[in-house]
Amino acid sequence: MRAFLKTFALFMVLPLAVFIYTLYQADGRSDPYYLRFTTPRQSSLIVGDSRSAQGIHPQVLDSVLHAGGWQGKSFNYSFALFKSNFGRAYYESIQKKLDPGSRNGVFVVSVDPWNISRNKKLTDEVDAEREQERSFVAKMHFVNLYPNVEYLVRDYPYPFLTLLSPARGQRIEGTRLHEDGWLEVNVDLTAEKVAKRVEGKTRFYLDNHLTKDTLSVQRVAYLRKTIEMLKQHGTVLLVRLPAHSAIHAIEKRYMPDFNGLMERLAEREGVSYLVIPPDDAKWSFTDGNHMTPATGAKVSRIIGEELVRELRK
Amino acid sequence: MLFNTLHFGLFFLLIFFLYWTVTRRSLRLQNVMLLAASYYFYACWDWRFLFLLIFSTALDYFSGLQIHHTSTRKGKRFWLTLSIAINLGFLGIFKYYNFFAESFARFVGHFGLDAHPVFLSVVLPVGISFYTFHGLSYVIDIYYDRIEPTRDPVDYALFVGFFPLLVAGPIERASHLIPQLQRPRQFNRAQMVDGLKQVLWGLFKKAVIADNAAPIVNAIFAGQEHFSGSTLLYGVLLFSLQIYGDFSGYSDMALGVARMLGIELLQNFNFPYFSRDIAEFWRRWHISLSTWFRDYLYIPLGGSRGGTWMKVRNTFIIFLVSGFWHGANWTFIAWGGLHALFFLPLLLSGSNRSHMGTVAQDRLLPTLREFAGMAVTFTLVTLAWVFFRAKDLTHAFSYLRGMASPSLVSFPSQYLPWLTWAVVFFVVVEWLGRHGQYGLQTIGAKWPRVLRWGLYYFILFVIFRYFGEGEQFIYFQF
Repeated sequence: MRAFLKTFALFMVLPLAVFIYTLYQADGRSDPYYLRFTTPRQSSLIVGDSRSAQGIHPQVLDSVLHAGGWQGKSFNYSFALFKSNFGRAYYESIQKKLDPGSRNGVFVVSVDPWNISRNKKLTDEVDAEREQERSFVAKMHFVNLYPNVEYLVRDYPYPFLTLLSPARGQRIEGTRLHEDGWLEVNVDLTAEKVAKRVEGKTRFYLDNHLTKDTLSVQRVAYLRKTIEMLKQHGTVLLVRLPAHSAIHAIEKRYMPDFNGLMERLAEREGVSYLVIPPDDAKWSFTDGNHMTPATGAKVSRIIGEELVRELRK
Repeated sequence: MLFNTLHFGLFFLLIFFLYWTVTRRSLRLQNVMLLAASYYFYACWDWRFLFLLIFSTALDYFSGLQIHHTSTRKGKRFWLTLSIAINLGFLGIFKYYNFFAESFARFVGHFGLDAHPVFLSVVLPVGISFYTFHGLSYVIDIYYDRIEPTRDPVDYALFVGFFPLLVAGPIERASHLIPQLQRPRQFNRAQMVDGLKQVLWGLFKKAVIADNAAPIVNAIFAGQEHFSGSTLLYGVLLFSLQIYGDFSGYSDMALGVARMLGIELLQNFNFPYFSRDIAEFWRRWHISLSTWFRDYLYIPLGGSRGGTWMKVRNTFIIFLVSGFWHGANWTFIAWGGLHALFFLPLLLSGSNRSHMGTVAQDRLLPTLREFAGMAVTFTLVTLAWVFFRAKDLTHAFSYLRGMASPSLVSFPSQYLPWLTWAVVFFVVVEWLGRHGQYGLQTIGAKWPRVLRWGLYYFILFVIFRYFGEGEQFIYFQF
C-alpha cells in the first residue's frame, strides 16, 4: 500500500501544482459571482438581485457615508434573480457573510416584484426545495474563503482549466466584478443597441414572468427575516431601484400594490423604504433592467444621502 | 451524489482510506462500513426512498431464506411469487403506473368513452430498476437451487446496495458478487492502478464526450424542425456517442471504484460500436442487462429451443421487454421492437453467433468486410437511437423524415470542431484498447513511465479543460 501511495503522490504532484496555480488565477473577470465568496465576513452589506449587483456601487456609497460621518466599508452581496431571491438560501448565505460582531453597519436591501415571487406552478415549499437543490448560493458552505475551492471546483460555470485560458465567448469584454462586490458591466450604449436590448428584456419579462409568476408568501416572510437579522447589526434601508419605463410598466401590471406592500412591511419593521422612481430621461440602462455604471453611481449617491439621513435620526 | 462531483471525490477518498486502514483487519467491519457508506450515498439523492430500498432488501433476504428452508415445492413457489409480485409491484407503481393509466384512457377514448385516470405525482426512485433486478435474480436463483441464500443480512444488503452499482448497475449476480463480499480482500497495487485508470477513462467519456454532446443533442432534438437533414444526422450521431459515453463512462467509473475496494464487478460494455452485426452488439452493450433477460426471461420462455416461431416470439418478447425496462414510453418499446427486427435475419439464418471474438484480432486495422459490418451495425443502432431519444413516436418519425431530406447533403449547423477532435481521440483509444476491459487498460502498459504518465496527464488536462455541464447520468432515470 505504501508503494502505491508513494507512486500516486508522485503522479499527483504536477496536477496538484497546476490545480493550485489555477485557483489563484480566478479574479473579477472569471465570472460575475466568484469574488463575492472570497472576502472576509462583512459588517455592512448591499443585498438583492442583479439590479443592485450592477446598480449600487459600494465605493460611491461609502464616499457619501464617510462625508456624513459614518466610518465603515460596504460590500455588495447581491447576485441575480433565481440565485438571490429572498428566501432561506439567501438568508442563510447573508448570515454566513455577515460579521456577527457588526454593530453600526449599514444595510441596503434592494427589492423588486420579482425577488419576492415564485413560479405559479410551484408551491412555496416546492419552490424553496428546488432552490436549496439548485442554487449555488444555497450550496456554498464557505462564503469567506480565498481562494474559494468550493465554488471554483463545484459551481464555477465553466470548465476549471478555462480559468487559465478562457474559452471563446466565456468572458464579456467590459464586465468585471470588483472586490467590493460591485459588478461593472460596460456594453455598447448606442441608442439603437440599447433599444434592442430593452425590447428583448421587456419581451423576456412579458413571456417569462408577467403571467407565470406570483407573489410568494414565503419569500416575503424571508425578506422580513432578513431585515430583522440585519437590523440587529445597524441601519437598514429598503430600496426600490429604478428600471426602464417599459419594465416598470410590466411590474405595475404584475403587482400594482408593490410599493404599498413594501411600505407596510417597512413600517412594521421600523425601517425606511426608498423608491427611486423610473425616469427614462434621467436614468440610463444597459437593457432596461440594469442601470449603466454612470446611472448606478448617481443612484448610489442618492441611497448614500438617504442613509446619512437615517443615521442622523 | 454523482461520480463526477467533488462531493463523491471526497466521499470516496474517506471511504478508501478507512477501508484500507482502520477496517482492513476485519472483513465484517469493512462490509458494515461499505453498507453504511452505500446507504449514505443513496440518501444523498433522497433519504425517503432509502426505506424502499431497505424494505426491498429485507423482503428478498427473508424470501430467499424461506424458499431455501421450505421443503415443499408449493411453499417455495409461494415465497418466490410473493417476492416477485412485491418487487414488480413497486416497479410497476413507481415506473409504469402513469403510463398504463394514460394508455388506458387513450384506448377507451377511441371508443368514445371518457376516462379520467388518477395520475401519481411521485418521482421515480433512482436505481429502482437495478436493485429490483438484483433482488429478483437472487430469489429466482435460490428457487432453482443455483445458489444457497446468504445468512448474513449485511452481505446480502451490500450485494443489493453496494454504492458503485446501486443506481445504474451493472446488474450483478449473487453468485458472482456475494462470494467476493465474504472473502477477505487484499490490497493489490496493480488492482488499484487498474481501478484508477478505469475511473479516469470513464470520467473522460462522461465529462468530455457525453456532457459536451448533450447540449447540442438537446438543442437539435428540441428544435428539429429548424435544422437541416445533415444537422439532424449530426444530432443523432452525437446522441450515439453521448449515450455510450454517459452509460459506459458511468460503468467504467463504477467498476474502477469497486476494483479499488478489491471487488470485481461484471463488465457491462465491451466496445459495442465495434460490433460487426446486431447480435454481436447485444453481446457487448449493457451486458449485465442482456444476460439478465437471457437467463431469467428468454431461457425460461424456451430460448432458441423449439421451432422457428418460438424463436421469433421469444426474441421479440425479450427485446420489447428490454425496451420497456428503459422507460414507460412507447418510444422505448419501438426501440426494442426495431432491434428485434434487426436481429431477426441473423436469427433466421442461424448466423447470430458468427462474431464471437474481438474484431481484427491480432491486427491493427479491420478488413474491408469487418469495416462494412461495423458501419452497417453502427448505422442501424444509430437510427434506432432516434426512437430512444425522441419524446414520443410522432417526434421520432418527424425527426427521421427531417433527416431524410435533400438538406442531408449540407454542412451541419451545430458543428463543434474541438468535440470532433475529442471524439477522434476517444475512438482511437477505444480501438487500440479493444482487447482489454476498457479503452485505456492496455494502452501504454509497456511504455516508459514518462510517456505513460504523459498520456494520463493529457487526459486529465482535457477533462478539466473541456468538461461539459454536469448532466445527470441518462441511466439514472431507468
